[in-house]
Amino acid sequence: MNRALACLALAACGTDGPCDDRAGACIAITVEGDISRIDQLEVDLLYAGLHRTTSSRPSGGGTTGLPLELAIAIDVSAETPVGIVAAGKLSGNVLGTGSASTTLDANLHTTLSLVLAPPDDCTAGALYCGGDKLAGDPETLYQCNGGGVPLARGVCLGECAIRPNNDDTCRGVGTCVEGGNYCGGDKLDGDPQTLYRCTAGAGTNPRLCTDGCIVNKDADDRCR
Amino acid sequence: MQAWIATIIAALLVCGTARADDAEAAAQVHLDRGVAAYGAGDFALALHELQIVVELVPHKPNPYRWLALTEIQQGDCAHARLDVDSFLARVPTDDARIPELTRARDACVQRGVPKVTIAPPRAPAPEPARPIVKRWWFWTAVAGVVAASAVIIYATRDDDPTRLPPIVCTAGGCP
Repeated sequence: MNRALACLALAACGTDGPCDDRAGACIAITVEGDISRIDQLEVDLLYAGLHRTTSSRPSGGGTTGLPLELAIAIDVSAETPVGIVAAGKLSGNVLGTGSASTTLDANLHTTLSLVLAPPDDCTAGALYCGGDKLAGDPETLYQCNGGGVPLARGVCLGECAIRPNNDDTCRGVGTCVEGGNYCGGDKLDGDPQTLYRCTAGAGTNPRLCTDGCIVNKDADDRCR
Repeated sequence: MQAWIATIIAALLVCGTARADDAEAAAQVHLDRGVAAYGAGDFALALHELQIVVELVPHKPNPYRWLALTEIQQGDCAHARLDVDSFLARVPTDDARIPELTRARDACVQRGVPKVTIAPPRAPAPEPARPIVKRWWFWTAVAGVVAASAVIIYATRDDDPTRLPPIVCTAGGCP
């Protein structure tokens, strides 16, 4: 029996991984799910305070079945948490969404499995913690994207709070200084990609940061 | 005169002994037939053979025993009781066969005919199971699976249809 298994293992070693020909950090993702075919995999990435949305389609067009695999190569130079949300689409319709996370490092190759499940009925444009009506990490705030993959707003520094009658939000950690500027979730409740002014301990005058909100330890937070 | 009488008596004794030996031999043959018929469930034939045995060697206890058992199987409990008594009268009180016979007799009287159970011939003992890895076809099948797997892997390793083009992200974004 052991001989047989060894032979099978050797035979399996002949397969190439999607990251095998990649230099630098790379995630080999296997996408599974109870979906027959898709023509596009839309991917939302959150890493190093950056938020990126992109997609991959089958070479030459057409559709492909699951499971499928693809490589996500990310240029990082240090240990970096990476959050991934994916949506399988066919003719523009989202058939399933799923999420996964890992930590990359320079030149590190890793593998990840992601399962697509039918999406919940979230309200387009509203904010949700992962798992609350959309796929994602429970400690990350996302925006419901009516026709595509949920868009990550950022990992909450503290708790991601689910609010049944309002947008979910990142809870602030600590107490904000009156008049100071803070990203949501940093000493006041809010969206991690929005800059707020601290007024009586709460965020006011929200300003959307188009390329992320940077938290500063000893100074006001700011948009990138 | 006395010599003649002695000669005649001796001749009669010899003849009597010879007849007794012939009777016992014949009785043994009929007893064997009767026991075989009993074992085969042919109680009518068993009864016939055993009655001959009793006539040939009426002083022997064992034929009464078999006769009683046969009559019990036929439901003839009355004759069975008589033959059991004849058997008991010819054996010591501690004979090992007594309990079995009296139980059968009592059962016949109380509940009717005991069911005849003739054990079927024993099936040959199954061969001890060999470990699956020692069977000739096991490694042949393993080799076949390995070969097929290798062919499939080799045939599909290039241009895997389920692989999407990679996503490459740099500081400038993920084009």
